[in-house]
Amino acid sequence: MTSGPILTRRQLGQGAAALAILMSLPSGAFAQTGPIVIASEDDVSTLDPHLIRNNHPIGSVVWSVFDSLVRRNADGTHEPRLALSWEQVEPTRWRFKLREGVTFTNGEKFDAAAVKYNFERMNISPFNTESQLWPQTGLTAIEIVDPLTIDLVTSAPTINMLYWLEEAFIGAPAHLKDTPADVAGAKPIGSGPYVVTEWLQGDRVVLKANARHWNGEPAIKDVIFRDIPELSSRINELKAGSVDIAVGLTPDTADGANSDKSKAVAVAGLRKMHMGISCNGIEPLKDKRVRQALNYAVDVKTMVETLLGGQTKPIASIVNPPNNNPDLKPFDYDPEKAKALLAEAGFTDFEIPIAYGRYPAAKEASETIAAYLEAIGLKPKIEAYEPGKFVEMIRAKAFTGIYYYGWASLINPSVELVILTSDAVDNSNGYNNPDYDALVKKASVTLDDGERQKLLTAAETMIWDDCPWIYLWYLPALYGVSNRLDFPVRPDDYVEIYRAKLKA
Amino acid sequence: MTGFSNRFLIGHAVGIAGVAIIVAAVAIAVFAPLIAPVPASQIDLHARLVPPAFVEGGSAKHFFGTDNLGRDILARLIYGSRISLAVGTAAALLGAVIGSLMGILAGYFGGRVDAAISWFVDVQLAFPFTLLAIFLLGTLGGGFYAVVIVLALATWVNYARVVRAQVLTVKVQDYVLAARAVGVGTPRTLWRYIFANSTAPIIVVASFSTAQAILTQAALSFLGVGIDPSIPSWGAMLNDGREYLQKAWWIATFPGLAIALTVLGVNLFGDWLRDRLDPRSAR
Repeated sequence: MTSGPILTRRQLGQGAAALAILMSLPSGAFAQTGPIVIASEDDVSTLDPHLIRNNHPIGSVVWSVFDSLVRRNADGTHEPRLALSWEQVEPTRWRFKLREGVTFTNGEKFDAAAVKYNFERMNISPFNTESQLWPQTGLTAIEIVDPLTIDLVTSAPTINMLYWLEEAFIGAPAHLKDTPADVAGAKPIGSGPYVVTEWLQGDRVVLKANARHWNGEPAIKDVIFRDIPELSSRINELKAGSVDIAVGLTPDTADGANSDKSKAVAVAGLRKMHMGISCNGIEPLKDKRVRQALNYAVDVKTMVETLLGGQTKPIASIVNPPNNNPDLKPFDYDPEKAKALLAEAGFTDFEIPIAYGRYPAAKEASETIAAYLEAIGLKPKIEAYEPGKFVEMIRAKAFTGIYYYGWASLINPSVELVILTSDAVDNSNGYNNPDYDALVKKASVTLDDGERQKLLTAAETMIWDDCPWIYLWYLPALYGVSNRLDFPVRPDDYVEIYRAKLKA
Repeated sequence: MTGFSNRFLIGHAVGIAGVAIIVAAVAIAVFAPLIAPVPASQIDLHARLVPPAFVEGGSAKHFFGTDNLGRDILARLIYGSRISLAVGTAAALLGAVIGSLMGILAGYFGGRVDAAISWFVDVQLAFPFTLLAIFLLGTLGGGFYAVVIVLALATWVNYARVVRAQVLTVKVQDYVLAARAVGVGTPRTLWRYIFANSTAPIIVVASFSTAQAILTQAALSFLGVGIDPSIPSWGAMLNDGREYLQKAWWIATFPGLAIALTVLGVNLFGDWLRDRLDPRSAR
């Protein structure tokens, strides 16, 4: 193993934070009536409703400050928010009835024109790099029927309209129009349950309840999202009472969150962890047999039982349960078969870069996988990335070997499969399989449930065998939660603080 | 009389202890593959976080216990000594070459040359070094050679200052003046008379700079910059053990002790050397 780009800002932060812990241990609990503090590894890099880069913390803050027409419940069902009801009046025309009497926190009125302005903003640069409403639904026009009715017209019938509307947030239109984009991204005005009172980038976002929210003022009045990169600091602050929700615990550290003030809460996560295998990088990885060999070489079951403390299970499909094809099974651990496949492909001892830069315990996972790959004769080369740089590389499809990554937790087979089609924004490994593209595209415009399911299962089965990833496990969603808080945990990383309550 | 000889003996004992530690560390680094019980990067997921042999629950198989991936701490310590010593000595030597040259030029020629070099030294000393190192390694990328160069940048000023001071006294000595009077050229004067008579302080500074370089390298590895984190190094082991301090203290404790002991050894040796080589220190 040789060297690669090493500097990671998070690690620097961790080092500094570790020194801080050593020097000052818990400084005393906050009063029980203080704000609810949510501590995460990542910082909130923007508050623009159309530039959501991650489910948490950016997504969690945006969900608190803005509303969407429809909201995704933890079980994948759809909750009416700014839309009261909807129907598909024609196969390519969705009609939404909007909620009356909603105002943004700067006094602007919510109506169909506000929706149109926001959705059209999502289709221009730079917002169209993050907001996927238009490309994913095939949206072509937004027509205002009356101030409280709006039609969304698509180029072909789509089954995923509600799903993508759940990621399409509505900001105060005049505010968005009249302020420069960077200011709008720093001083967000929405109609959601909270308003932002202060944002110190890299440190904290302070929220206050919106007393005039259409759904009533939320139970928790003051909320602070804090950036605490160091995991042990998050846990120490949780135990000291100065943090109420510590996000991103690892199985090894979860125990530490159990104290007289707090406890560890686990929920079966839906984020599919994997080693993305670059299909546009080094030559050997373009061979399906090599990609399969990598899957046979890694003992995922043992890693789950030991590194992850048995708190999760290996993924058995790119589609999350309950929609997955039950006939698909995780690859067995079979290093001999892996070596045979490598020999058959004619690539036996190549150097393979392994990159990591995000997610809890990424270094441990990468180092262990490197050891497994070394055991079948490959030459792994581990590269640590600063999280921001890592995301940049993902976007640019720039990794040439394999990289530790997690696919967002969705319960929607069509959307889950779309990310590996060749023209998807999120296709980060340059996977390109025209047969697969055709199946997924056809499924996304097939309205008949049975027929669509058949196409999806065919695509799901095809890609499982083709191995665009080294399939790993569901990321266990582990939170440390203060005992004073009644907090419903979701499997998809969003922290929905407006649904939380203080215990009596 | 007794006080004098006691002090003399103590001085020697300290020097011998320093030398012993250094020799042991070098031997461990050189013979790592022979001494290490298992390869340093051998992962055993079924033996994670095993305590040291002398603690309850420990196993004789892993004398200093295992880390969060079941790697043997002793083996990693042994292999980690390679990085520490290699980087430490290489950086000190490179720093010595650059620093001595600069010091001789500044001291011998004086005037603008001296002003320019001294200005560089002052600027360098005024700059927080860790920050500079992180910046340089962040832009250059990491790797063994990059770290050595960056650490040499940290240590050259030590040499430059000491050598310059030495040269200022040496260059007005009669033998230098005599050499110049009989027509010895400048390069030869610098090499044969100036440098040759400045070696004692250079050797002393080299020992302290080695200690400084070992420490700084460990700090950089701890921060995750520099040496590839998958190569075992003491600083990186400290970082790995940080999140397990409360649960598995041994992961971070032993590399910490190894760093402390090695630096102590080099410093003791340096102290002793200074006492021996510096005619002005009391004997």
